[in-house]
Amino acid sequence: MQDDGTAGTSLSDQATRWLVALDAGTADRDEFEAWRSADPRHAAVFAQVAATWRRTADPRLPALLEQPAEQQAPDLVEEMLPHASAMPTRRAMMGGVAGLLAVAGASAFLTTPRRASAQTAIGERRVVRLQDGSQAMLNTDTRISWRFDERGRDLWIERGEAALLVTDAGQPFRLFSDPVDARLSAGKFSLRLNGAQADLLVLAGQAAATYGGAMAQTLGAGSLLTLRNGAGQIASLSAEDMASATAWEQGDITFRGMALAQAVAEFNRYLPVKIVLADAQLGRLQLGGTFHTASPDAFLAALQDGFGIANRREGDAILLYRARGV
Amino acid sequence: MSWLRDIDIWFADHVFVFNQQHRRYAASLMRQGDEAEELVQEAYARLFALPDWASVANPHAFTMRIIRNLAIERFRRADVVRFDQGALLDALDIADHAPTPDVVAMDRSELNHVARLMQMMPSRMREALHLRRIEGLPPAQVAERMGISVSTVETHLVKALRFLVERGDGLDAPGKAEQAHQCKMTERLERV
Repeated sequence: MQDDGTAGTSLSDQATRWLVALDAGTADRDEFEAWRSADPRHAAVFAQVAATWRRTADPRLPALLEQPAEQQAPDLVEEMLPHASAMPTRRAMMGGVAGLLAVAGASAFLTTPRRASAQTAIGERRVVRLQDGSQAMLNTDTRISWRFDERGRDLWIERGEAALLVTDAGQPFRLFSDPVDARLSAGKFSLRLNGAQADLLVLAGQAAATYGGAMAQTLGAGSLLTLRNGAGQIASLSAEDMASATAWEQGDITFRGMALAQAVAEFNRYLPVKIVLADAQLGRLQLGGTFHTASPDAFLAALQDGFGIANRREGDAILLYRARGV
Repeated sequence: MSWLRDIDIWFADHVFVFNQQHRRYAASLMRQGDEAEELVQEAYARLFALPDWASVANPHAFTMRIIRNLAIERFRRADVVRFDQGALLDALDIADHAPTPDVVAMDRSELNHVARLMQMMPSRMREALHLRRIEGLPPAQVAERMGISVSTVETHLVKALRFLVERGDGLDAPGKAEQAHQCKMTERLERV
Protein backbone atom coordinates (compact mmCIF):
# COMPACT_ATOMS: atom_id res chain seq x y z
CA MET A 1 0.00 0.00 0.00
CA GLN A 2 2.36 2.68 -1.08
CA ASP A 3 0.79 5.73 -2.40
CA ASP A 4 1.13 9.45 -2.18
CA GLY A 5 -2.56 10.06 -2.11
CA THR A 6 -2.78 10.82 -5.78
CA ALA A 7 -2.68 7.34 -7.27
CA GLY A 8 -6.06 5.67 -7.06
CA THR A 9 -7.36 5.44 -3.52
CA SER A 10 -7.22 8.41 -1.23
CA LEU A 11 -5.05 8.50 1.86
CA SER A 12 -8.14 8.51 4.00
CA ASP A 13 -9.34 5.33 2.30
CA GLN A 14 -6.01 3.65 2.91
CA ALA A 15 -6.02 4.71 6.54
CA THR A 16 -9.57 3.41 6.95
CA ARG A 17 -8.63 0.02 5.56
CA TRP A 18 -5.55 -0.16 7.73
CA LEU A 19 -7.50 0.66 10.81
CA VAL A 20 -10.22 -1.91 10.26
CA ALA A 21 -7.64 -4.57 9.45
CA LEU A 22 -5.67 -3.70 12.59
CA ASP A 23 -8.82 -3.83 14.65
CA ALA A 24 -9.72 -7.23 13.24
CA GLY A 25 -6.16 -8.46 13.77
CA THR A 26 -5.69 -9.23 10.10
CA ALA A 27 -3.16 -6.53 9.29
CA ASP A 28 0.57 -7.01 8.91
CA ARG A 29 1.87 -4.78 11.68
CA ASP A 30 5.28 -4.17 10.13
CA GLU A 31 3.75 -3.25 6.83
CA PHE A 32 1.37 -0.89 8.61
CA GLU A 33 4.16 0.78 10.60
CA ALA A 34 6.14 1.19 7.39
CA TRP A 35 3.15 2.86 5.78
CA ARG A 36 2.46 5.11 8.74
CA SER A 37 6.05 6.26 9.15
CA ALA A 38 6.60 6.80 5.43
CA ASP A 39 5.05 10.25 5.54
CA PRO A 40 3.68 12.47 8.31
CA ARG A 41 0.57 12.90 6.20
CA HIS A 42 -0.10 9.18 6.51
CA ALA A 43 0.25 9.39 10.29
CA ALA A 44 -1.99 12.47 10.40
CA VAL A 45 -4.74 10.96 8.28
CA PHE A 46 -4.59 7.70 10.22
CA ALA A 47 -4.96 9.59 13.50
CA GLN A 48 -8.03 11.39 12.15
CA VAL A 49 -9.65 8.14 11.08
CA ALA A 50 -8.76 6.62 14.45
CA ALA A 51 -10.34 9.58 16.25
CA THR A 52 -13.57 9.03 14.31
CA TRP A 53 -13.42 5.31 15.06
CA ARG A 54 -12.96 6.03 18.74
CA ARG A 55 -16.11 8.14 18.76
CA THR A 56 -18.22 5.20 17.65
CA ALA A 57 -17.58 3.51 20.99
CA ASP A 58 -18.52 6.52 23.08
CA PRO A 59 -20.55 5.27 26.07
CA ARG A 60 -23.15 8.00 25.51
CA LEU A 61 -23.96 6.80 21.99
CA PRO A 62 -26.34 3.90 22.65
CA ALA A 63 -28.80 6.19 24.44
CA LEU A 64 -28.69 8.68 21.59
CA LEU A 65 -29.23 6.00 19.01
CA GLU A 66 -32.33 4.95 20.87
CA GLN A 67 -33.65 8.46 20.85
CA PRO A 68 -33.33 10.09 17.47
CA ALA A 69 -34.48 13.59 18.20
CA GLU A 70 -32.03 16.04 19.60
CA GLN A 71 -31.92 19.37 21.22
CA GLN A 72 -29.65 21.52 19.12
CA ALA A 73 -29.99 24.80 20.92
CA PRO A 74 -31.40 25.77 24.28
CA ASP A 75 -34.18 27.84 22.78
CA LEU A 76 -35.58 24.97 20.74
CA VAL A 77 -38.87 23.45 21.66
CA GLU A 78 -39.39 19.83 20.82
CA GLU A 79 -42.72 18.71 19.66
CA MET A 80 -44.09 15.48 21.01
CA LEU A 81 -46.11 13.76 18.39
CA PRO A 82 -49.00 11.36 18.35
CA HIS A 83 -47.66 7.79 18.59
CA ALA A 84 -44.24 8.92 19.74
CA SER A 85 -44.87 7.35 23.13
CA ALA A 86 -45.43 3.97 21.51
CA MET A 87 -41.88 3.80 20.23
CA PRO A 88 -39.82 3.22 23.36
CA THR A 89 -41.99 0.27 24.32
CA ARG A 90 -41.61 -1.22 20.93
CA ARG A 91 -37.89 -0.66 20.94
CA ALA A 92 -37.50 -1.96 24.45
CA MET A 93 -39.26 -5.14 23.41
CA MET A 94 -36.89 -5.83 20.57
CA GLY A 95 -33.87 -4.34 22.24
CA GLY A 96 -30.36 -3.69 21.03
CA VAL A 97 -29.59 -3.86 17.37
CA ALA A 98 -32.86 -5.45 16.48
CA GLY A 99 -34.62 -2.42 17.92
CA LEU A 100 -32.31 -0.06 16.15
CA LEU A 101 -32.85 -1.73 12.83
CA ALA A 102 -36.55 -1.96 13.32
CA VAL A 103 -36.79 1.77 13.81
CA ALA A 104 -35.23 2.30 10.45
CA GLY A 105 -37.07 -0.57 8.82
CA ALA A 106 -40.51 -0.62 7.30
CA SER A 107 -41.80 -2.94 10.00
CA ALA A 108 -41.69 -0.17 12.58
CA PHE A 109 -43.77 2.09 10.44
CA LEU A 110 -46.41 3.89 12.37
CA THR A 111 -49.15 5.75 10.66
CA THR A 112 -50.51 9.23 11.01
CA PRO A 113 -54.08 8.87 9.81
CA ARG A 114 -54.68 12.55 9.32
CA ARG A 115 -52.27 15.25 8.42
CA ALA A 116 -50.43 16.50 11.48
CA SER A 117 -48.83 19.92 11.49
CA ALA A 118 -46.35 22.11 13.33
CA GLN A 119 -45.41 25.74 13.09
CA THR A 120 -43.12 28.41 14.45
CA ALA A 121 -43.66 32.07 15.24
CA ILE A 122 -41.34 34.84 14.07
CA GLY A 123 -37.93 34.39 15.65
CA GLU A 124 -38.67 30.86 16.83
CA ARG A 125 -36.99 27.61 15.81
CA ARG A 126 -38.23 24.14 16.57
CA VAL A 127 -37.19 20.55 15.98
CA VAL A 128 -40.01 18.18 15.17
CA ARG A 129 -39.26 14.50 15.44
CA LEU A 130 -41.29 12.41 13.06
CA GLN A 131 -42.37 8.89 13.87
CA ASP A 132 -40.01 7.23 11.38
CA GLY A 133 -36.98 8.76 13.09
CA SER A 134 -36.74 11.58 10.55
CA GLN A 135 -36.59 15.13 11.80
CA ALA A 136 -37.78 18.47 10.59
CA MET A 137 -36.20 21.64 11.87
CA LEU A 138 -38.40 24.66 11.38
CA ASN A 139 -36.88 28.08 10.96
CA THR A 140 -38.67 31.30 11.85
CA ASP A 141 -42.30 31.79 10.75
CA THR A 142 -42.69 28.33 9.22
CA ARG A 143 -45.50 25.86 8.90
CA ILE A 144 -45.27 22.20 7.88
CA SER A 145 -47.66 19.29 7.86
CA TRP A 146 -47.22 15.58 7.20
CA ARG A 147 -49.00 12.31 6.76
CA PHE A 148 -47.18 9.00 7.11
CA ASP A 149 -48.95 5.81 6.20
CA GLU A 150 -48.39 2.53 4.41
CA ARG A 151 -48.18 4.34 1.08
CA GLY A 152 -45.26 6.40 2.19
CA ARG A 153 -44.17 9.53 3.96
CA ASP A 154 -45.57 12.82 2.71
CA LEU A 155 -44.51 16.14 4.12
CA TRP A 156 -45.67 19.61 3.13
CA ILE A 157 -43.84 22.85 3.70
CA GLU A 158 -46.57 25.43 3.62
CA ARG A 159 -44.54 28.51 4.37
CA GLY A 160 -41.14 29.54 5.66
CA GLU A 161 -38.07 27.34 5.77
CA ALA A 162 -37.37 23.87 7.09
CA ALA A 163 -34.46 21.44 7.09
CA LEU A 164 -35.30 17.76 6.85
CA LEU A 165 -33.18 14.92 8.11
CA VAL A 166 -34.63 11.92 6.34
CA THR A 167 -33.95 8.40 7.58
CA ASP A 168 -33.81 5.38 5.36
CA ALA A 169 -37.08 3.74 6.31
CA GLY A 170 -37.75 1.77 3.15
CA GLN A 171 -40.79 3.93 2.50
CA PRO A 172 -40.65 6.73 -0.05
CA PHE A 173 -40.33 10.24 1.35
CA ARG A 174 -42.10 12.93 -0.64
CA LEU A 175 -41.79 16.62 -0.05
CA PHE A 176 -44.48 18.99 -1.29
CA SER A 177 -44.72 22.75 -1.53
CA ASP A 178 -46.47 25.23 -3.79
CA PRO A 179 -43.58 25.78 -6.18
CA VAL A 180 -41.78 22.42 -6.07
CA ASP A 181 -42.25 18.77 -5.13
CA ALA A 182 -39.45 16.31 -4.55
CA ARG A 183 -38.85 12.69 -3.76
CA LEU A 184 -36.10 12.42 -1.19
CA SER A 185 -33.62 9.67 -0.40
CA ALA A 186 -32.17 9.33 3.09
CA GLY A 187 -30.14 12.46 3.71
CA LYS A 188 -30.46 16.07 4.63
CA PHE A 189 -32.39 18.68 2.73
CA SER A 190 -33.71 22.16 3.17
CA LEU A 191 -36.43 24.10 1.46
CA ARG A 192 -37.01 27.80 1.79
CA LEU A 193 -40.08 29.55 0.46
CA ASN A 194 -39.54 33.24 0.06
CA GLY A 195 -42.26 35.04 -1.84
CA ALA A 196 -41.78 34.35 -5.54
CA GLN A 197 -38.59 32.39 -4.88
CA ALA A 198 -38.01 28.88 -3.57
CA ASP A 199 -34.66 27.26 -2.75
CA LEU A 200 -34.30 23.52 -2.44
CA LEU A 201 -30.89 22.52 -1.10
CA VAL A 202 -29.53 18.99 -0.95
CA LEU A 203 -26.97 18.72 1.86
CA ALA A 204 -26.71 14.93 1.77
CA GLY A 205 -28.51 12.28 -0.24
CA GLN A 206 -30.48 12.84 -3.42
CA ALA A 207 -33.66 14.59 -4.42
CA ALA A 208 -35.72 14.10 -7.57
CA ALA A 209 -37.42 17.47 -7.96
CA THR A 210 -40.39 18.34 -10.12
CA TYR A 211 -41.80 21.78 -10.79
CA GLY A 212 -43.88 23.48 -13.41
CA GLY A 213 -44.94 20.14 -14.92
CA ALA A 214 -41.40 19.31 -16.10
CA MET A 215 -39.62 15.95 -15.84
CA ALA A 216 -38.06 15.16 -12.50
CA GLN A 217 -34.54 16.52 -12.08
CA THR A 218 -32.11 14.67 -9.89
CA LEU A 219 -30.12 16.77 -7.45
CA GLY A 220 -27.09 15.39 -5.66
CA ALA A 221 -25.46 16.54 -2.44
CA GLY A 222 -24.30 20.13 -2.63
CA SER A 223 -26.89 21.10 -5.27
CA LEU A 224 -29.18 24.05 -4.91
CA LEU A 225 -32.31 24.35 -7.02
CA THR A 226 -33.57 27.91 -7.16
CA LEU A 227 -37.02 28.54 -8.55
CA ARG A 228 -38.12 31.99 -9.43
CA ASN A 229 -41.52 32.49 -10.96
CA GLY A 230 -41.60 28.88 -12.07
CA ALA A 231 -38.18 28.88 -13.76
CA GLY A 232 -35.54 26.65 -12.19
CA GLN A 233 -31.80 26.95 -11.98
CA ILE A 234 -29.38 24.44 -10.44
CA ALA A 235 -26.14 25.52 -8.84
CA SER A 236 -23.47 23.56 -7.05
CA LEU A 237 -22.57 25.02 -3.68
CA SER A 238 -19.19 25.09 -1.97
CA ALA A 239 -18.88 23.84 1.59
CA GLU A 240 -18.73 27.46 2.66
CA ASP A 241 -21.97 28.32 0.82
CA MET A 242 -23.66 25.33 2.42
CA ALA A 243 -22.47 26.39 5.85
CA SER A 244 -23.95 29.86 5.29
CA ALA A 245 -27.21 28.43 4.00
CA THR A 246 -27.63 26.25 7.07
CA ALA A 247 -26.24 28.68 9.67
CA TRP A 248 -29.80 29.32 10.86
CA GLU A 249 -29.96 25.82 12.32
CA GLN A 250 -27.55 27.06 14.97
CA GLY A 251 -29.40 30.34 15.27
CA ASP A 252 -26.77 32.15 13.23
CA ILE A 253 -26.98 34.35 10.21
CA THR A 254 -23.94 34.70 7.94
CA PHE A 255 -23.31 37.48 5.47
CA ARG A 256 -20.49 37.14 3.01
CA GLY A 257 -20.24 40.19 0.83
CA MET A 258 -23.99 40.66 1.03
CA ALA A 259 -25.52 44.06 0.33
CA LEU A 260 -26.85 45.70 3.47
CA ALA A 261 -30.37 45.92 2.03
CA GLN A 262 -30.45 42.15 1.60
CA ALA A 263 -28.73 41.52 4.94
CA VAL A 264 -31.40 43.60 6.65
CA ALA A 265 -34.13 41.68 4.85
CA GLU A 266 -32.54 38.42 6.07
CA PHE A 267 -32.33 39.66 9.63
CA ASN A 268 -35.90 40.96 9.53
CA ARG A 269 -37.24 37.45 9.02
CA TYR A 270 -36.38 36.83 12.67
CA LEU A 271 -37.48 40.13 14.13
CA PRO A 272 -40.95 41.15 15.23
CA VAL A 273 -39.67 44.75 15.13
CA LYS A 274 -38.23 45.28 11.66
CA ILE A 275 -35.08 47.16 10.67
CA VAL A 276 -35.56 49.74 7.91
CA LEU A 277 -33.05 51.81 5.96
CA ALA A 278 -33.37 55.58 6.00
CA ASP A 279 -32.07 55.83 2.45
CA ALA A 280 -31.58 53.32 -0.34
CA GLN A 281 -27.97 54.37 -0.84
CA LEU A 282 -27.07 52.74 2.47
CA GLY A 283 -28.45 49.44 1.25
CA ARG A 284 -25.61 49.03 -1.26
CA LEU A 285 -22.93 48.71 1.32
CA GLN A 286 -21.48 45.21 1.27
CA LEU A 287 -20.60 43.42 4.44
CA GLY A 288 -19.54 40.14 5.95
CA GLY A 289 -19.89 38.59 9.37
CA THR A 290 -21.78 36.10 11.51
CA PHE A 291 -24.44 37.08 14.02
CA HIS A 292 -26.98 35.46 16.24
CA THR A 293 -30.50 35.87 14.90
CA ALA A 294 -31.73 36.21 18.46
CA SER A 295 -29.60 39.27 19.16
CA PRO A 296 -29.90 41.99 16.53
CA ASP A 297 -28.15 44.34 18.97
CA ALA A 298 -24.73 42.94 18.06
CA PHE A 299 -25.52 43.50 14.39
CA LEU A 300 -26.66 47.06 15.04
CA ALA A 301 -23.60 47.71 17.18
CA ALA A 302 -21.29 46.38 14.45
CA LEU A 303 -22.94 48.66 11.90
CA GLN A 304 -22.44 51.58 14.24
CA ASP A 305 -18.82 50.78 15.08
CA GLY A 306 -17.65 49.51 11.73
CA PHE A 307 -19.58 51.68 9.34
CA GLY A 308 -20.85 54.69 11.23
CA ILE A 309 -24.43 53.62 10.66
CA ALA A 310 -26.52 54.66 13.63
CA ASN A 311 -29.99 53.43 14.56
CA ARG A 312 -32.97 54.66 16.48
CA ARG A 313 -36.38 53.36 17.27
CA GLU A 314 -39.11 54.91 15.14
CA GLY A 315 -42.58 53.71 15.93
CA ASP A 316 -42.60 49.95 15.45
CA ALA A 317 -39.38 49.85 13.42
CA ILE A 318 -35.63 50.36 13.89
CA LEU A 319 -34.33 53.03 11.54
CA LEU A 320 -30.77 52.83 10.21
CA TYR A 321 -29.18 56.07 9.12
CA ARG A 322 -25.74 57.42 8.30
CA ALA A 323 -24.44 59.15 11.42
CA ARG A 324 -23.31 62.75 10.94
CA GLY A 325 -19.65 63.61 10.91
CA VAL A 326 -18.39 60.14 10.03
CA MET B 1 -5.29 -1.03 20.51
CA SER B 2 -1.54 -0.96 20.59
CA TRP B 3 -1.55 0.53 17.14
CA LEU B 4 -2.73 3.80 18.68
CA ARG B 5 0.26 5.76 19.87
CA ASP B 6 0.33 8.53 22.45
CA ILE B 7 0.52 11.12 19.72
CA ASP B 8 -2.70 9.74 18.19
CA ILE B 9 -4.56 10.13 21.47
CA TRP B 10 -3.07 13.58 22.01
CA PHE B 11 -4.09 14.55 18.50
CA ALA B 12 -7.65 13.25 18.96
CA ASP B 13 -8.15 14.95 22.32
CA HIS B 14 -6.41 18.27 21.79
CA VAL B 15 -6.41 18.93 18.07
CA PHE B 16 -9.02 16.96 16.18
CA VAL B 17 -11.79 18.02 18.56
CA PHE B 18 -11.30 21.47 17.05
CA ASN B 19 -11.45 20.19 13.50
CA GLN B 20 -14.51 22.34 12.74
CA GLN B 21 -12.68 25.48 13.73
CA HIS B 22 -9.61 24.50 11.72
CA ARG B 23 -11.71 23.92 8.65
CA ARG B 24 -13.65 27.11 9.05
CA TYR B 25 -10.55 29.12 9.65
CA ALA B 26 -8.82 27.58 6.62
CA ALA B 27 -11.98 28.22 4.58
CA SER B 28 -11.94 31.85 5.64
CA LEU B 29 -8.37 32.15 4.39
CA MET B 30 -8.61 30.22 1.15
CA ARG B 31 -11.31 30.96 -1.30
CA GLN B 32 -11.59 27.42 -2.54
CA GLY B 33 -12.85 24.53 -0.47
CA ASP B 34 -10.28 21.98 -1.60
CA GLU B 35 -7.44 24.39 -0.89
CA ALA B 36 -8.76 24.92 2.60
CA GLU B 37 -8.89 21.19 3.22
CA GLU B 38 -5.33 20.81 1.91
CA LEU B 39 -4.23 23.47 4.32
CA VAL B 40 -5.79 21.66 7.28
CA GLN B 41 -4.30 18.34 6.22
CA GLU B 42 -0.88 19.89 5.72
CA ALA B 43 -1.06 21.52 9.14
CA TYR B 44 -1.97 18.19 10.76
CA ALA B 45 0.89 16.50 8.95
CA ARG B 46 3.26 19.13 10.37
CA LEU B 47 2.12 18.15 13.86
CA PHE B 48 3.04 14.55 13.16
CA ALA B 49 6.49 15.63 12.03
CA LEU B 50 7.17 17.45 15.32
CA PRO B 51 9.88 15.89 17.45
CA ASP B 52 8.42 17.29 20.69
CA TRP B 53 4.68 17.39 20.21
CA ALA B 54 4.03 16.72 23.89
CA SER B 55 5.55 20.07 24.86
CA VAL B 56 3.13 22.12 22.78
CA ALA B 57 1.27 24.19 25.38
CA ASN B 58 -1.87 24.94 23.40
CA PRO B 59 -2.21 22.45 20.54
CA HIS B 60 -5.32 24.11 19.11
CA ALA B 61 -3.78 27.57 18.97
CA PHE B 62 -0.58 26.04 17.66
CA THR B 63 -2.48 24.34 14.85
CA MET B 64 -4.30 27.56 13.98
CA ARG B 65 -0.95 29.29 13.73
CA ILE B 66 0.42 26.59 11.43
CA ILE B 67 -2.65 27.00 9.21
CA ARG B 68 -2.09 30.72 9.16
CA ASN B 69 1.59 30.39 8.30
CA LEU B 70 0.86 27.88 5.57
CA ALA B 71 -1.67 30.30 4.11
CA ILE B 72 0.91 33.05 4.12
CA GLU B 73 3.42 30.75 2.38
CA ARG B 74 0.83 29.98 -0.26
CA PHE B 75 -0.02 33.60 -0.62
CA ARG B 76 3.60 34.46 -1.31
CA ARG B 77 3.87 31.76 -3.95
CA ALA B 78 0.54 32.37 -5.61
CA ASP B 79 0.03 34.30 -8.82
CA VAL B 80 -3.46 35.20 -7.84
CA VAL B 81 -4.35 36.45 -4.41
CA ARG B 82 -7.28 34.45 -3.23
CA PHE B 83 -7.40 34.75 0.48
CA ASP B 84 -8.87 37.14 2.89
CA GLN B 85 -6.23 39.18 4.65
CA GLY B 86 -8.72 40.39 7.18
CA ALA B 87 -9.39 36.84 8.31
CA LEU B 88 -5.66 36.26 8.47
CA LEU B 89 -5.23 38.99 11.01
CA ASP B 90 -8.06 37.64 13.14
CA ALA B 91 -6.13 34.45 13.72
CA LEU B 92 -3.85 35.86 16.35
CA ASP B 93 -6.78 36.79 18.55
CA ILE B 94 -7.89 33.20 18.61
CA ALA B 95 -4.39 32.02 19.44
CA ASP B 96 -4.05 34.49 22.26
CA HIS B 97 -7.15 34.06 24.29
CA ALA B 98 -8.43 30.59 23.65
CA PRO B 99 -6.49 28.20 25.84
CA THR B 100 -7.17 24.54 25.26
CA PRO B 101 -8.77 22.82 28.22
CA ASP B 102 -6.81 19.82 29.45
CA VAL B 103 -9.31 17.33 28.24
CA VAL B 104 -11.90 18.15 25.66
CA ALA B 105 -14.55 15.51 25.43
CA MET B 106 -16.47 15.09 22.23
CA ASP B 107 -19.23 17.56 22.78
CA ARG B 108 -22.90 16.85 22.59
CA SER B 109 -23.42 18.21 19.12
CA GLU B 110 -20.60 16.14 17.66
CA LEU B 111 -21.94 13.11 19.45
CA ASN B 112 -25.37 13.78 18.00
CA HIS B 113 -23.79 14.12 14.61
CA VAL B 114 -22.12 10.71 14.91
CA ALA B 115 -25.40 9.19 16.16
CA ARG B 116 -27.33 10.65 13.24
CA LEU B 117 -24.78 9.44 10.73
CA MET B 118 -25.01 5.98 12.23
CA GLN B 119 -28.76 6.10 11.82
CA MET B 120 -28.46 7.27 8.23
CA MET B 121 -25.98 4.67 7.02
CA PRO B 122 -27.12 1.60 5.11
CA SER B 123 -28.31 -1.16 7.41
CA ARG B 124 -25.59 -3.82 6.96
CA MET B 125 -22.82 -1.34 7.66
CA ARG B 126 -24.71 -0.03 10.63
CA GLU B 127 -25.31 -3.49 11.98
CA ALA B 128 -21.62 -4.43 11.68
CA LEU B 129 -20.51 -1.18 13.29
CA HIS B 130 -23.07 -1.48 16.06
CA LEU B 131 -22.10 -5.04 16.95
CA ARG B 132 -18.38 -4.31 16.86
CA ARG B 133 -18.29 -0.88 18.50
CA ILE B 134 -21.38 -0.51 20.64
CA GLU B 135 -21.89 -4.09 21.71
CA GLY B 136 -18.14 -4.65 21.56
CA LEU B 137 -18.27 -8.13 20.00
CA PRO B 138 -15.05 -9.49 18.50
CA PRO B 139 -15.05 -9.60 14.68
CA ALA B 140 -15.56 -13.37 14.59
CA GLN B 141 -18.74 -13.07 16.65
CA VAL B 142 -19.96 -10.17 14.56
CA ALA B 143 -19.50 -12.42 11.53
CA GLU B 144 -21.46 -15.19 13.21
CA ARG B 145 -24.31 -12.92 14.25
CA MET B 146 -24.58 -11.48 10.77
CA GLY B 147 -24.14 -14.83 9.04
CA ILE B 148 -21.21 -13.63 6.95
CA SER B 149 -17.43 -14.11 6.81
CA VAL B 150 -14.98 -12.08 8.88
CA SER B 151 -13.59 -10.49 5.75
CA THR B 152 -17.08 -9.36 4.76
CA VAL B 153 -17.48 -7.90 8.24
CA GLU B 154 -14.28 -5.97 7.59
CA THR B 155 -15.66 -4.73 4.29
CA HIS B 156 -18.80 -3.47 6.03
CA LEU B 157 -16.73 -1.82 8.75
CA VAL B 158 -14.49 -0.13 6.18
CA LYS B 159 -17.57 1.23 4.44
CA ALA B 160 -19.13 2.31 7.72
CA LEU B 161 -16.00 4.08 8.87
CA ARG B 162 -15.55 5.70 5.48
CA PHE B 163 -19.17 6.88 5.68
CA LEU B 164 -18.41 8.55 9.01
CA VAL B 165 -15.06 9.98 7.95
CA GLU B 166 -16.43 11.45 4.72
CA ARG B 167 -19.31 13.08 6.51
CA GLY B 168 -17.35 13.98 9.60
CA ASP B 169 -16.90 17.52 8.39
CA GLY B 170 -20.15 18.36 10.08
CA LEU B 171 -23.05 18.66 7.71
CA ASP B 172 -24.55 20.62 10.44
CA ALA B 173 -22.58 19.94 13.56
CA PRO B 174 -22.39 23.34 15.15
CA GLY B 175 -18.98 22.73 16.70
CA LYS B 176 -17.89 24.53 19.78
CA ALA B 177 -18.46 28.06 20.87
CA GLU B 178 -16.34 30.07 18.61
CA GLN B 179 -14.53 33.30 18.49
CA ALA B 180 -15.88 33.56 14.95
CA HIS B 181 -19.12 34.75 16.45
CA GLN B 182 -17.47 37.97 17.34
CA CYS B 183 -18.62 40.55 14.91
CA LYS B 184 -16.22 40.76 12.07
CA MET B 185 -17.24 43.15 9.40
CA THR B 186 -15.27 44.34 6.47
CA GLU B 187 -16.31 46.96 4.05
CA ARG B 188 -15.24 45.49 0.78
CA LEU B 189 -17.05 47.32 -1.96
CA GLU B 190 -19.30 50.28 -2.17
CA ARG B 191 -21.11 49.10 -5.25
CA VAL B 192 -23.23 46.03 -5.81
